Formats: sequence, C-alpha cells, structure tokens
Amino acid sequence: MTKLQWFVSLTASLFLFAMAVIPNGYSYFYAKYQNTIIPITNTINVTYNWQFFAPNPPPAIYYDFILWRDNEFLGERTIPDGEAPFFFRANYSRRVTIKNTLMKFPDLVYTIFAPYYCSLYPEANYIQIKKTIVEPLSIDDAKSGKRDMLDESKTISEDLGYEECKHG
Amino acid sequence: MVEKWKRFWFDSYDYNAYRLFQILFGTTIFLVYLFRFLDYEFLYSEAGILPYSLLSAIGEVSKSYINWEILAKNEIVGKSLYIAFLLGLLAMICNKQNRYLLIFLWIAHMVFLRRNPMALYGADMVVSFWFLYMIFADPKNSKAMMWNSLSTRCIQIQLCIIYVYSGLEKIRGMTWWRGDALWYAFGNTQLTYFDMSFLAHMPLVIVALTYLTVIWETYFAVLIWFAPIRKYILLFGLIFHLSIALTMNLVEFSVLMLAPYLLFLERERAGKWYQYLRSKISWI
Repeated sequence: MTKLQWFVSLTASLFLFAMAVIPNGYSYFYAKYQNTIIPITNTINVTYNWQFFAPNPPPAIYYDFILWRDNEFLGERTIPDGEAPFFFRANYSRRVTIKNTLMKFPDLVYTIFAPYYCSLYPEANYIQIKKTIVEPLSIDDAKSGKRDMLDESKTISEDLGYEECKHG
Repeated sequence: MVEKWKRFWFDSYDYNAYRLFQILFGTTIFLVYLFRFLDYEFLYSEAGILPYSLLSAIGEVSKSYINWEILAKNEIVGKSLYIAFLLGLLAMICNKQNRYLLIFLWIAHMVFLRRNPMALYGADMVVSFWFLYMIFADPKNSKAMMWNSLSTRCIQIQLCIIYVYSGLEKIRGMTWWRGDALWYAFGNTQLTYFDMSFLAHMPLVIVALTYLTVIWETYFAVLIWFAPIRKYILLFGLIFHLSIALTMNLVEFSVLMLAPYLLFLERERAGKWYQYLRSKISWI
C-alpha cells in the first residue's frame, strides 16, 4: 500500500462513517459533532434521514387553498394537485413531497403557499386553507366491501383558517 | 490484513459493471429531469412556489458553506444550466465523459436540489450520493483504477447504509411490528395505482411481506458481502423494487436503487451484459 492509498482509503472510511452516523440524530457522534459536520454535509448535500415509509406509512393528505373575493368563490388549488400518471410519476411524487414538507413545517402554509396561491388570483382578497386526511381503509372494511383502496370518500377535514391576500 | 484492505478498496472496479450502472442511472435521471422541466416555472422561477428571496424561510438550507442555489437565481442562467445538465447526462450515457463532466453534473444537481428544498425527496438524495461518488471515477481511464475502485466501493457501501436505515427506521413503527404496514402503504391513494383491497382476504401474506421487507432491508448490508448468497440477495432486491415500482408506482426511485446492484455483478456476467447492450446500441 502506498501512502496515497492509505490516505485515500482512511479518508473514505471516515467519510462513510459520517454518512452512517448523520441519519441517526440521536447518536452520540451526531450530538457531539453536528455543528461541525452538518454545514459540511449540507454543502455537499448529503444530509438526509432514510425514512421510507417509516416509522409508519402515512395516509393520503391534501392541503386545499380556496380563494375568495369577499363572499365570491374564485377558485381552489390543492397540493398535491392533479393525478398521478401511471408508470412515471416523478413530478407527482415531488408534489407529494411538497405536501410532506408542509406537514413538517406548518408555518410554510402561511408564509409561502398562501401568498403564492393569492398571486395566482389577483382579484382575491382572502384565502381559506384546509387540510384533508383520507382515512386509511381498515382490513375489515375492505373485507366487507364497504370501501376499496382507491376510495377517498372518507376523510377528516381540518380548517387551518383564513389569510388575507396582500397583492403588490 | 493490509493486502485484504487494499483489495477491498482498490481492486473492486470493473469497467463493464460501472458502465452498466452509469447507463441505467444516467438514463433514469435524464428522464426524471426531462419531465421535471415541465414544472420548472412552478418549482424554480420567481413566479413559482418558492421565490429566491423566500428560500431563507426553509430551515434546511441555512447552514451551508456554499450557496449552490444562487446559480439558479436568474431564470435564464438557471434554465441554461438545466439544459446543459441534460446534455451532460446524455454525454455520460454515451460514454463521452471525463471527471470534469461528472463534477459538473454533481454540482448542477445540487443547484436544483437546493433551489427548492421543499420538493426534495428520497430519490433526489439517492441521486446526490451516486453523483458524489462518481466524481472520483474516470471510467475510460485505465490508469485511474484506484479512483474508479474507490467510487465503486463508496456507492456499494452507501447503498448498504441506505438499506440499514430504511430497515431500522421502520422498526420504530407500530405497524411494521404488528405486520400490517404494507396494507397501509398500499392503501395510500397518493401512492397506489391499483386497488389492492383483495389483500384483505390474505392477512398472512401482508404480514409475511411486511416482515420480509424489514428483515431484508436491515440485513442487506451484511448479507451482500457473502459471495455465495449475493445473487439471491440481489434477486430478492430486484423483485422487491420491481414490486414497489409496479404497485406503488415509484418507478424512478426503484430504478435508482437498483442501478448500483450492477456494481455487485460478477465480472463475467457484467461483461456479457455490457457487450450485449453495445451490440444493440453501439453508441453507448
């Protein structure tokens, strides 16, 4: 082994060790070195928690943005919007991710999304925001034929309030 | 011991396997970015969901030494970079590549991830890692064996890290312990395309598949290094990801996870596959 090979292999080992530690926010190493490591890993974009369907698979959730001018309904936008096309749905997945970000940082609904949808309707003076959770289908309901998996009729709606549309 | 260490890090490169990996990965990410261009205005423009001035409102981007996203601040520059990135991917697929091109691809990918972190999902991060480790490689240069091997090993180990966390994070959830997590994953209408209600009549199948998923993901990192069983582990993974692609419609994610499997292929098999592919498509 040359000196260069030692250096390269040990550096790679150290880096991969960091990659193995970073997703575990509870670890000793993470707690001790996060202030040093995270800005570096953010810079090269490798900070991520690998939580596919974990800890539990989430239900389908939608955010609805309803635009009003006084009492006149102007339109409604939803995140994620549209329908997932079969086979190649990367763009729809990205919209689902945006919805997940909203769940993680609820303030973004008011700071980013409400102003954006207001800007699409210049005549709107306020926006109503709702969150809709599709109730997961139980195995018993599926067995009895009450609903099927693609049925989104059973929902829980949460009113997230109204925001004034500030144009210009 | 030293010899084993050396062989582990610097004798893992196989040109044919690496090219197969690059072609599958490059083609998938090319299609993902090509379709994403339809959403450019929505995701990255000033009139879109996240104007540049509001980026600071998103927590994740705050701590970083380089603000790569500034390259997409101006829409014309951003779109030009986007198109150059697509052309660069084509060059990589066609093997018209060098290390500078791979570095460019990695940076351009980071620019768009960081320009709108709200839209960043698992597949994007997998891509980030594959690009990062590819910048060490210079596949066409036979004198770069050390760096090409390093790139191969890093991708393989990163794949193991991803699987271990995917498995361990699931163990924290009640539904994965109970054995009905897959029922709820299939039941998410934002994911599922097919009505899988018939599984309600086969509860044992749901439980078995749920536990198998957790066990396989958690132990992949160990089992994959045992040569006699490697092909079975890869075969299970292939079936697993193709099932995800079909039932949950996550095609691009599944292919991006499967691409590094090619780096685990035996040299002889990889050689046959690559030569076969070249006999059909000469320009790759």
